[in-house]
Amino acid sequence: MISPKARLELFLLLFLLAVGLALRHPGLLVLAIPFAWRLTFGLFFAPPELRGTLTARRLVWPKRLSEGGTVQVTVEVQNTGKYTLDLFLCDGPYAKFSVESGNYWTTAVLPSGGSVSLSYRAKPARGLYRLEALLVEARDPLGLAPRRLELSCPAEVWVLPRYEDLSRLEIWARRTLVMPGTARARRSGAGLEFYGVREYRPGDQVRRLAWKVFARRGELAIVEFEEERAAEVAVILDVRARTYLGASPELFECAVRAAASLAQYYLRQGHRVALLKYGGVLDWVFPGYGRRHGERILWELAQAELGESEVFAELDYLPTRLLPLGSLLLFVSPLLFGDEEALGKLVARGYRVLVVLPDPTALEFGKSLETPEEKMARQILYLERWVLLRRLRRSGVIVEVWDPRRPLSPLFRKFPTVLRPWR
Amino acid sequence: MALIFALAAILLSWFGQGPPLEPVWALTVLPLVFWLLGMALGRRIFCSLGFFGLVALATVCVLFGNLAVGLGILGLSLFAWDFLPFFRFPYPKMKGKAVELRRVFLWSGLVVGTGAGLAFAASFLRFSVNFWAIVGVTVLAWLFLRAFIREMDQGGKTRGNRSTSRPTG
Repeated sequence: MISPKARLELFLLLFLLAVGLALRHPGLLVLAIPFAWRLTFGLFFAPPELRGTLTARRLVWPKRLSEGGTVQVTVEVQNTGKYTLDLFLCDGPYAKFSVESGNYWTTAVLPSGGSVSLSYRAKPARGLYRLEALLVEARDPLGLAPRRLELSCPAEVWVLPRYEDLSRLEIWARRTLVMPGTARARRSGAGLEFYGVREYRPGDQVRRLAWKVFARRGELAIVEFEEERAAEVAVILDVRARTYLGASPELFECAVRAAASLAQYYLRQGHRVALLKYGGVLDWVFPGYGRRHGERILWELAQAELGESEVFAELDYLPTRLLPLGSLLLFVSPLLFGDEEALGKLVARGYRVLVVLPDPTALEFGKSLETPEEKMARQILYLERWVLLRRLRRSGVIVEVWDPRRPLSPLFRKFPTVLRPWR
Repeated sequence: MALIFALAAILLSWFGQGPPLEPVWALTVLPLVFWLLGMALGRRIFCSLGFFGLVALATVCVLFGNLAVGLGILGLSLFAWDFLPFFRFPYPKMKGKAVELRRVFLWSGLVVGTGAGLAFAASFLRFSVNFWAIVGVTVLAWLFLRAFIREMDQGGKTRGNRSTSRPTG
């Protein structure tokens, strides 16, 4: 490859020759000699074809990490060709893959059979990173005819969203499944919570006799407990770009973390959890149980990005066929005006809907001292939001406004028992 | 470093001819200005213009009959030109930078020095060549270089029509 530098020098060489000949001035021809000498030298020392002469191996550890963690990347390049190469190696820089320590580039003179390694520690943001190729440039001494090669050494790094371990969330679906879980099924059976007292029937366990009732009435009675079963839960993450318009990018990250926390909580409780990313395209993780499913949901959330689509601009096109009636919908979104109607319709159709609303104003206005204009803007936003929340609550949607600067778990501890499904 | 050598080339052009008094010589600062602009804005085109300016300065000196000064200016500007990529390069560590600087310093010094020496030696040669022979050799050299560059730029790419991977019929 002839570099732009060599092209320019070649042009000057020809120019000096042409002007020297035109003016019949030998001095100008003499001035062209250093250029001719440099070009000859550069071409003589030009590196050989790199294809097939270099091999690279990339080691990434760990390949799966949580947001905020660091990853060690090591790339080893070996010269399998016959010639010594003067190399410049560059791995990246990749977007959102900030290098903490070490260098993502190096220079080395690599003899035949020799190897060089490049090692750095990076702190990537949430996402999936495909580290594809290493840029290798074999240089001649003057940089006139370098050769470049993208040396393939693929590796993947998954940076999963950070999530909170929620300890208590007393909101359950309207309907439960037949599998055991922790959602109260509004029927007597095996469980821990008191459900009621009924008359004794032959075959009932003696240890469940209600002695106080017997002492008061003189009749045998049995204590019943409420059966606890698994429920169908769908976590819906709003990825419509216009919902986050003007807000700090951190707000979307907080929404992703909230979605991950909710999904992990309900999976830990033994429920069937699905994930839906609603926005640019519909990304759907089918309902499932267990830790492996939790990992699947985290992987999907790691790839969550804001998107724009005319079709999914409104919430009216939520694919309710994927969501069984009576299930619990956990909607994570800052919401737009007009969304309350669609959410109200979902409640009317028999879903239980909880909206976790990351408060955009908390991130925006908490940064610095407010000017009068900012104060006015905050008041207007507050009023708009108040109207929106009021409409939502009146339509039966449970709404929790979350300040993303604070942890999520205290938010759910304060839920009153009034929200129990049978009340 | 690049700026230092460029400045040295300009000073050499001033003092090589005796201190210039005519205002037109102030224009010789232009290459340095272009170079500074290129560095500040990160644009290669300004740096190239600055280099053109320095070569033009060397040409003017040669046209005024001062070949040694012209060669000196050209040598210094080529030296500066070799150091120029450093300002664009990511060099977080001084150690790596020092190694690279030394490498460029040695190689560039060697090539520019020998080139200028060859040119200076060539200026003492006295021979006559037919004008049209020179033109012919130049044209042939140009054609050869053009073909060579085209061949180098192919970079091992395959040529010819390739069949698609779609199933036929």
